This record gives sequence, structure tokens and C-alpha cells, in this order.
Amino acid sequence: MSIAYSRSGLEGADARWQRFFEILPGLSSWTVLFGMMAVGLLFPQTAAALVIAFNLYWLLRLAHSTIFLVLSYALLRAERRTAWRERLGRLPLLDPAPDEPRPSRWLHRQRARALHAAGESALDPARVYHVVIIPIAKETADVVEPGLRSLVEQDFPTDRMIVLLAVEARASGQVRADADALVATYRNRFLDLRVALHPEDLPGEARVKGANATYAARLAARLLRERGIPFDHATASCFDADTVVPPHYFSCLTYHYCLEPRRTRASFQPIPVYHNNIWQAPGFARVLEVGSSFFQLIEATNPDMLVTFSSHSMSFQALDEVGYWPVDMISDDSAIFWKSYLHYESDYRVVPMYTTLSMDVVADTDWIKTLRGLYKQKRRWAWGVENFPLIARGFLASRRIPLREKCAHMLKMFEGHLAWATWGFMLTIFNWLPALYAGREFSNTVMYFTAPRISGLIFNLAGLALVITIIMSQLLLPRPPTRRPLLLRLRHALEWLLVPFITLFFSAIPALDAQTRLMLGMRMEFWVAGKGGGKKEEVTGNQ
Amino acid sequence: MKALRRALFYIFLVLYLAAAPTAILYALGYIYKPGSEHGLVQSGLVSIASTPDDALVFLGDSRYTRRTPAVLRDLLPGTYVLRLAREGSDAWQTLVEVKPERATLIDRVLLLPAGRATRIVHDAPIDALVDDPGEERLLLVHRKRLGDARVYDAGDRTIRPLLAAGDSPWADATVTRLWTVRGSPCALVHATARGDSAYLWFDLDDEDEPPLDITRLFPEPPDDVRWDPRADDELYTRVGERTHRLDLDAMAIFPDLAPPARGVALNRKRLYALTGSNTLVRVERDGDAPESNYTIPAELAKRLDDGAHHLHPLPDDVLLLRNEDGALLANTPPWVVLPRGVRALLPDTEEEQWLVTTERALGLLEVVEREDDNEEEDDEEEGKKGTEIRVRWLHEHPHPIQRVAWMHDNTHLLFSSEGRIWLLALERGGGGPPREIATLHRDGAFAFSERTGDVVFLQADRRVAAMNLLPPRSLIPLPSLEEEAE
Repeated sequence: MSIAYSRSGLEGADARWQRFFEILPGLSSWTVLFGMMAVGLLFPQTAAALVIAFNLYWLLRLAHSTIFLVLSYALLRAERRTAWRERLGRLPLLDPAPDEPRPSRWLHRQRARALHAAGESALDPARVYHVVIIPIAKETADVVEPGLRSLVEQDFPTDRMIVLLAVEARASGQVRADADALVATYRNRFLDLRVALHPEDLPGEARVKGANATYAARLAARLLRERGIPFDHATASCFDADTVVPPHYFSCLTYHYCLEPRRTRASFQPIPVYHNNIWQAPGFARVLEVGSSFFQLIEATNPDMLVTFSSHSMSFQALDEVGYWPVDMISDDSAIFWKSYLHYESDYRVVPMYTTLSMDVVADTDWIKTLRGLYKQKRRWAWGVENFPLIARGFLASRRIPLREKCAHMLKMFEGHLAWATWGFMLTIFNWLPALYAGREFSNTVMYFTAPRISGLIFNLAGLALVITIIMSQLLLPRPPTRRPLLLRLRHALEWLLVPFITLFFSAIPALDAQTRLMLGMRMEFWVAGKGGGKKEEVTGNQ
Repeated sequence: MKALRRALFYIFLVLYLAAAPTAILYALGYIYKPGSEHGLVQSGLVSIASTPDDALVFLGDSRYTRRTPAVLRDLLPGTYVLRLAREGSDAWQTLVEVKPERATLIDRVLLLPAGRATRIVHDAPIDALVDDPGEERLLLVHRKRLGDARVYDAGDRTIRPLLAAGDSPWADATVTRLWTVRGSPCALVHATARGDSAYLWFDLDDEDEPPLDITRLFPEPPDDVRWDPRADDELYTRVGERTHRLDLDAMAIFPDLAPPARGVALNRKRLYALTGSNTLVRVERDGDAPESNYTIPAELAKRLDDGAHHLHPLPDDVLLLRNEDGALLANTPPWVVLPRGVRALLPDTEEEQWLVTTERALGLLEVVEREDDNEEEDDEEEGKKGTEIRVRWLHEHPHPIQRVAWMHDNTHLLFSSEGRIWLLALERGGGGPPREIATLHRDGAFAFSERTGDVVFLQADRRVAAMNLLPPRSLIPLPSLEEEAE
């Protein structure tokens, strides 16, 4: 389908629909918030009933999510022991090695069955190439090099990897010099490693990461063509500059790519974790980022509705056919999925990969800067709502995307953004609003006495989910770099008590901020998070 | 995974569809009572708390395992006998009506100590007991002699002479008039001795400070003297229809602060005066032009007589006027709240409830929405739109009521009558008829300290006695924000 996945240059009905769908999420969130406030003040009994209904809904959603979190973590743990490189050696045979863990073998058989059912055969892994694009705007060598080194340390042959350091021309001299130095150091370790210097302010581009990555991807396309590598035999991975991948990442990606039916119509989503400096970051940042990883773990169990997030990989052919990343959007990670989904009119999907890749927690030199940095990062994530009007317009225009899919995606996205901006307020403030503003009339009702009791029971049950979450976080996190790891782990367990504060200030408010900006037409500039601060501190400490 | 997700979705959906309405219905009071007569019924509850707490709770024939404070839930509508029992306290009971969906709040039950004992706090005979100063202090006056006057501090239960130690030229003076203001720790005494007279200003908080002689601020005897407890460095005097302000710091008189007035009121540091032209004027303390005027409705003006009136500005722009005959009038239809007999209006400490006392009855003022819509248009011009002031009578006593005091966070009233002190519980205190507390001197003077829980009174033999009714307050009394700002 030919739809410009951009808000630029729209006219007439398209422009009006775009504006309508830009306003809708913010307006809905504000309506819910003001509506609850008004109902709380005017009809406290109704508000208390609504709060009970909401709390129950939240509890069941929490229970549902916790079940899938546990399942997803079990799969991640099972796949952790999978020897991906050896599996590649066995392809195109579809039988798993007998010594592999049982869940891993089961997953493999599922994939093989799906491939067989599609009437396809596995691609020869020896013919697969990988393009890795690392956009750089402000990140110096100390942020970029660990990731680059992790690419060098892959168990996959690096002579089939092309790595492009996509450096902004407007970047500082130091950043550019660092990129050149890294290229000089690691050039011989890959099929190709070079700097793609993205010129400043190209026509039609905003100052966003997607524009930089697109410029580098076009260069990668030229390099692939020069080397005679077919695009359908190549993947493209766009990694944040601080992304560190495990040694088996590209073996795992190759395996999934080879075994996936209609592999050129898929993105491959690993589980992002924030382990690079997790133990150096402040407690609230640690809880927040573990929560983000959990969210992705839960999402991974629902591939039908999975959307790409942060660092991920995809078919290079698809990337080329859809015209690369949007060059005027901040949320390039999810936008590329939706752009592909609309381009192929629903014939595009995200394949979850039960492997991790690690990034930095936002951790600056002091708490205030870290708080500010985290807030801005979460607001940038919430700015993903900018996709909503584009997808909605795309759905209106497309006749081939099934109505059921359109409704499911729109509902999930709309509910997701609404929940993101309002649940924090509902749980931390509106729960107490009817009682706080209770007049004599309401305080003399059974509801006044019973509603807090029911909510209390609900929150106690939710405490069970919190306990499971704490256990899961302890399992997911790496070993603390200290002589007393138990103390640090205990501290981290207690840090989960910050959840109400985090839910309000680093989830609901940034999301409401982003939606309000979109509603009012106040576009956001791309902001590069001050990552790596924790690590710098660590180096200083060691010195 | 997909099948599991779908299965869980439907399970959770069914769970939600079942649990949410059930929880909401339960929160509204609906319960299921087995049996053909009951089925699904809407229940009520009773929230009960007592002072002191930890009392056994009996409702009807049931004894509850929970002790006060307790919430008794899932009660079928009806009338129950609610009883509380606690060792060391008098048994207490009341009739409580449980209504569907409603919560009955009886959260201020006062369990009186069993075998209440009185203790003598001042063994010498006393003529009069003045209970207003600062609510924590009492003035004990004997033989009208200033040197014999004592200050009883109910907070720390000590007693001391009103005049500081040492020779005072006024020790032999006779107290001819005495002014106090509720909530203020100060007292103004007019004393005469050997043909001389003086106006002496006492700050009872400062026991070492001699009284301030402010006689020169009174060139003529006042009809009335008032001050705001929040600003007791300035007094307002009334001489006929004239109102003056006296600045105690500057020792200066600011005469004729307000226009000639039929009545004045001090409210939140502002002076309100009702002029002869039936205009209510709010007067600035420096006597500058009035900040705002309010012409009282003509219908109300018609009902005012020519005499002086007590003004009572209430919240929400309600103005009450009380004349010398005790007629209580309001600036909202039907204008006359009570035609005669009102002796005093006594606000509670929060100024949320106003007690009306007549010779033999106690009632509470209520602002209610008026139901008659036809008059609405007229009312908007004439008075306050849509509200009516009524009196809800609490108790009618067979004998004249002498003194009344709020107590226990404004949920009870203490009053004296015919040589007895009575305790009357309001709604949250459980209601019911008044309970006799103690016998006292026939002049009925008593005082109550919320901090110590003591009621202090003159016995028949004129000795001052105290009886403890409430456990002492353990909280540190913090200054109010307003006091802080000052």
C-alpha cells in the first residue's frame, strides 16, 4: 500500500484526520482524569464504584501479565542454554540436538513445524549477512566501544557483518574523532566497518535518529549491492550506541531468520535489558528499567500484537522496500514496524527472540540530572503516540488489512496510551479522591466504609504480584559487582516499594506530557539520554 | 502460547464480569441472606468509637468480638439496642436505627468514669467562677475583692492569685465589672477603691506581669467592651451608638470608628456595624472608608425594632440578628428564625455548629435548602437565594438552663440547671437523654477543659471542685496556621 508514513505535506482530509487522531489520545486521557475528578467531587459514590471496577480490572490485568512474565522468563531461561551456533551448524536439518534443554527443543520444533506448514525450507545460514547500524549523536568512545567489542566477540563469523557507525555531521569533534578511531581499531575485524557521516539538515528530515539511520542504511544497501549480497539474505540491526549484545546474538538472529517462514516480512525482537550499569544506577532508575524489560518480556508472549522496541533487527529487504526508517519521527523503533505493517498491508510481523541485549540505564552524574534524564527518556518513549495518527490514517486508507486486525491494533494502542497516562493517577490519587472530598452525605454511606476495604484487599492481592516481580527481577539481574551481593540484592528488593512513586512520576506524567504536546501540536526535539554516567562514575571510583 | 493467552483472557473476562458487579453491590451494602424472607437485601452499618476505647460491643442480642473502635457491617435494616461495656466506665446504651445503604456514625461515645469522684481544687469559698479566659483558665472571684481573685489553670491544675506577688495598690479594690472573651487569655477588670476607679488589663498567660492600667482609654464608662481573641492588643468599646477602638500598644483611642450603629460584631479581626439605615458596614481597623457595605433586605429591615441588636455573621454570607427580647432574625426568608426567647448563640470551636439557647431548650442552627421555588426570583434580590435558617431542637429541659459548654470535639454539650450538671450527647455521641454528671452551686457556674478532660465547678459549699470526664489529651497542641502567620 502506498501511504506516506509521515505527517509532513498532508492536505485536505488527510491533514484533518491526522490532526483529529493527534488530539484523540491526549484529549481522552485528560477527559478521564478531569472526569474522574469531577465525578469524585460531585458524585463520590459513583466515583467510589468506578474506582472499585478499575482496581479489579487492574488486578486482573496484573495477574494476567504476571503469569506471562513468569512464562516468558522461563522461555528466556531455557533459551539461554541453547547453543545457537551449533544449531546453525545443523541447519537446514530441523531436528534439535538431543542434549538441548527440553523447552528449547520444544520451541525449535514449533518453529520447524511452522516453516514446514508454510511449505518453505530453512535458509542456509552460511549465506546470511548482517548489517549493523549504530547511530551516534553525542556518544563518545567510552559509550560506543563496549558495544562494538561485543560485535567483535560474536561466535557468528564477523566477516559476514557490515558495521556502520552512523555519525551525525553536527556531532562534536570529539565524537567524530572517536568514531574514526574506533573504525581504525576494529576495521579488520568485520567484512566492513566504516563511518557514515550524516549531513546536517537534509531536506525533509527532522533532527531525529531515524534520519541518521536511514542515511547509513542507504550506504549499507550500496555496499551490499557492490558485494553482490542479495537483500533477502541480509538482516539490518539498528542498535542504540550503548547496546551490548551477547556473543551468541547474531547466531541466534541468523537461526531465527533462517527458520522463519516469509522471513523478509518480519522484524526480530530480542529482550532489551539495562544491565550495562544497572548496579551503578540509582534505585528508582534500576526499578524503572527492570520494569521496562519485564514489559518487553510480557509483550514477547503475544507475537500477534508485538511491536518493535529499542534495539532490534529486521530483514534488510523489507527495510529497503518500505523506504527505511521515517526521517521525521522520534520513535523510529516502533515506527519502522508500523511503516512496514502498513506497507505490506498487515503481512508483516515481529518475531520474539528469547535472548537479551543490554543497554545503559540513564544515570547521570547526580540524582537530579538522572531524574531529569529518566523523565525525558520516558517522555520520548511515550512520544511513540505520534504513530497513532499515522496508523489510524493508514487503517482508514487500507482495504486489505482485515477489519478485525485494524480494530485489535487500534484498541490495543489506544488503550495502551490511555492506560499509560492515567493508571498512575488512578492508582495513586483517584483511589483516595472520593474519601478525601467526601461530604457529609457520602461519609454516611456504606460505600464510604466498604470501598477502601475492597480496594485494600485488591492491593493486598496485588502485593503477591509484586513479590513475584521482585523474585523475577532478582533472577533477571546480573550478579552485583560487590563483595556483599546479598546486601545489594536485598536493597534492590526494597527498591520496589518505590513503584507508586515511579508509576506516577516516570510513567503517567511523562506519558501525559507527551500526549498533551501531541494534542497541542507541540512537536518534540530528539533528546539523547545522558547514558553512561554510571559507568563513568564507576571508572572514577576505581581510580 | 496463543491458546493459553486466549483461554486466560476468557477466564479473566468471566472473573471480572462476575467480581466487579459483586464487589460494587457489596460496597453499596447488598448482601445475600439465606432464607425465603431475605434473599438479596441492602444492609447498613454502624461505625462506633468510644472514649476511652476498647469497650465491648453489643448490638441487639449479639456480642461482637471486636472492641471499640469498630465497624459493624452487614446489618439488616431496623432498630437495634447498641450497648458498650468497659471496665472502669459506666455502661452505655442507645437505640440505633440501621438504614439500607447508610452508615450510622456514632464515633464519639463518651464512656463516663464509673463512680465519678470529685476533687477539691480550691478549698476556700469562692463567690463567682468566670470560665471564659482562654478556655484553659478560670477566674475565681471572692467577695468581689481583687486581691482575693484567683486564676485556676485547668491545663496544669494549678491555682494562683490574679494579682502578681508583691504589693499591689489594687489588692483591696472591688471588682465592679469584669469582661472576658471566649478563647482569649485576657480579662478586663473595672475596679474601685477608696473613691478611685481603674480599668485593669490582665494577661493571664503571664503570671508575673502586673496588670496594665488602661483607665485613660476609658473617658466614659462603656456599655460594652469586646476584643478579638486573635488580636488582643486592641479593644472595641461601645458607648451608646458610638464605637471606639482602643490601641493598647499605643495607648491611644481611635474614636467613632464606625458610623452610629444599632449593633456591632467582631468577626475574624473585622468589625461589622449595623447602621441606622439598615446597612451592614465592614469597618477597617484604621477607620478608613468602609471596605464593603451590605444593605440588609427590606423584608428583614421591616422586622427590626428600634433597639440594639447583637450581630452574628455566619459563614456563607448568613447574617443573624438578635434583639434584646431574644428574637432571632436572619437575612434569608422567612426572616424570623425564632420570634423571642433566644438567650445566646454559641458556636463550637470549629465555628461549624451554632448552639441556640433559650431559657429551657437547646437547639442547633441549620442552614437548609428551601424547597419553595416560586419565591426564588424575589429571594435573589431580597436575601440569600434558596436557603433557610432553622433550629433543630436537641433538648427541652424542665428547669431553666444556666450555662452551656461544648465538649469532646463538639459532639457533646455540658449544661447546668437547678444545681446539676448534665451531659447531652449529639448524634455522633450517640444521642439520647442527658445524663446527670454532678451537683453544683445554684448559680450554675462551671468550666470544661478539653485538654485535661476536667469539668470544674462551684460546689454548693462554694468550694471549687473538679471531676474528670475525659482522658487528658496526649497530643501536643500546635498553633493554628492563623496564629502562626501572626
